[in-house]
Amino acid sequence: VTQQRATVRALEHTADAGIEIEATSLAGLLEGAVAGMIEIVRGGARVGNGETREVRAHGTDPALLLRDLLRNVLSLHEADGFVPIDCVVALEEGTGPIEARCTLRGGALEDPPATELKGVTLHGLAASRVGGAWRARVIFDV
Amino acid sequence: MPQRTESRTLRLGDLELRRLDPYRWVIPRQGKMRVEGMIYADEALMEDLAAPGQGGDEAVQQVANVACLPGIVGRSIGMPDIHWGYGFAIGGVAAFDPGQGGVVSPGGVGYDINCGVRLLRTDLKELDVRPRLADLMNQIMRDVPAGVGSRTKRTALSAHEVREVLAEGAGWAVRKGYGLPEDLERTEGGGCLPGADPERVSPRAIERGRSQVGTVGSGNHFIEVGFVDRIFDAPVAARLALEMGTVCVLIHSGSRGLGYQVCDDFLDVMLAAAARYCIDLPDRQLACAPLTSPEAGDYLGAMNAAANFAFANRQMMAHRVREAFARVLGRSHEAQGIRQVYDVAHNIAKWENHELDGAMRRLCVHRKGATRAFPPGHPELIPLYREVGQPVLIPGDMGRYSYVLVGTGAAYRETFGSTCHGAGRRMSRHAAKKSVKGRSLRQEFRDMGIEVRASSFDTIAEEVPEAYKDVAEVVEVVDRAGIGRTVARLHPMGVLKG
Repeated sequence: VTQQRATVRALEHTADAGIEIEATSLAGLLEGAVAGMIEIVRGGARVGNGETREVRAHGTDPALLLRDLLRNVLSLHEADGFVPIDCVVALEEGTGPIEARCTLRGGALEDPPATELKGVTLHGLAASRVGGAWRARVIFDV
Repeated sequence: MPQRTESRTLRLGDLELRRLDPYRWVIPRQGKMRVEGMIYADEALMEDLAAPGQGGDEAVQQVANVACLPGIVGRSIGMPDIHWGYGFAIGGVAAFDPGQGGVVSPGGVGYDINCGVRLLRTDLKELDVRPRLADLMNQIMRDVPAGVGSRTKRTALSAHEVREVLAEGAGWAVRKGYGLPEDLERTEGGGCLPGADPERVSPRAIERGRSQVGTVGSGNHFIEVGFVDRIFDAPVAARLALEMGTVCVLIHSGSRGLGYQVCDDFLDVMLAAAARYCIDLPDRQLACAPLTSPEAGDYLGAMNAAANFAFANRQMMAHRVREAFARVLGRSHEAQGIRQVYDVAHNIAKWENHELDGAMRRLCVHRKGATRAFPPGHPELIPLYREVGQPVLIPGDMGRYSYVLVGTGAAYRETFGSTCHGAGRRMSRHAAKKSVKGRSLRQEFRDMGIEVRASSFDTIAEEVPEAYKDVAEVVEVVDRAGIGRTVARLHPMGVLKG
């Protein structure tokens, strides 16, 4: 997945799969998380590139926003096989929950997916700004 | 790093464990723990758990976290196959009393609601099947969809039919001709849990389930053809119709995407409920609601419905397996004596009666990666098994062996009638894949006499035997601790991995 605003690292977990993300902004963090999750689903599979989709997400804190976004992207994949190869996140912060609009570019998988993710767990879910960097951690149920 | 502070204590992460006897380790109450924790393990399993990179400190912390939840009674328990999960550890058991503010938590059941195991036995012996094994495994692979996102066009259901499945469970499948009425009585809860409420299952969950009934799925799910290669308790084995050489089939799967969606939907509900009822959560994945609340009632209604979907899923697969045996071996499944031994869940929360402090109490028992193991004489057991105890089915890895046990009185007294559920992972999927680079796994299995079928090489690589603990060690601890009684060992011949 094309992702230039974040660093994503796979977490070793005996039961499941997880990623840690670091970025300079919350939007970059969310983009990196989408990229990391899709990497797990996709593995080395080829992906089409002709479609654009948009998903929205919201959360009362950055961690719940992150989970909601990942769930919605996973739902797209589950529903009709769409897999993004690029994503751009725009944040809408007001007085209520944080909202994100994510524009995804991609298509259907042309090879079998590598991994079925059952869900985006709340276990150890974290997303916060530490110093000048945004950091997040998310565990997926496999 | 784990640090041994004295001969009978062990420090894992922030917690100190005290060894009670060779198979029991106590986590004394500390911090916000309402009860103590108990982990069943011998020295070797505990050393393995404590080894760097095993996530053992996280798993033990999860047992302690569960002990902090409101209304927990007895102990927060970890089985010998315990490993790091999310919220609850995999291999975790906890019971909650509604009269003491007890809760239900989707994280204590898991995404794959009623993930479980079904065992079929046959009149066939190993040598009856061995010459046609490759054909048999090919036929099973054709007839039972397996792998990531596996779906079936053959039995895709309407939304209305999915709701029927949610209400009727395995009975729906038998009513439609997929199996035998006797299969139902040899299934936990008759293959249909009471209290299922399809109206509490979201349209999205129902949509996900429409094309997934009768499919294996992915990850560690499988269909395994094997034979009995060791009998530990001949009279009990005879009651289960198992003898040396008997060809058996193990089916391991759950509620597929429908169950995952139910869990996901209710995590949001439970997060809000935990805030509303002022429940302090040590981990958000332990989001929960008091058992007396409407949120708990809704979740249990949906969870039981998803559990029924899982029973129907395994029922359909068992039927397809019977058909595959008939087609490949040229005799009807009746003539081959293919009968169900038992079907049991290992991801579930159930209302059960247990004796606590000298009084019978109605408790909500969570088993996440743990198997019900009711003792001889328990009124919920069918007459066939009432004398010997409930069959317990413990799959191992695909290269070594699996076990059949029965429940015991000690399990009923100590662990709310629960025991282990499998080998337990000891390597992450990523590490497992790295460890097999350059190896020809299919050939390795063939050299071991095992025909492996899978939709992708990655699945086989993630599930190599060394990714798991040796299930023999897990079962030995269970047996010696008395929370299960070993009956027979099954050796794999053919495996269809998800």
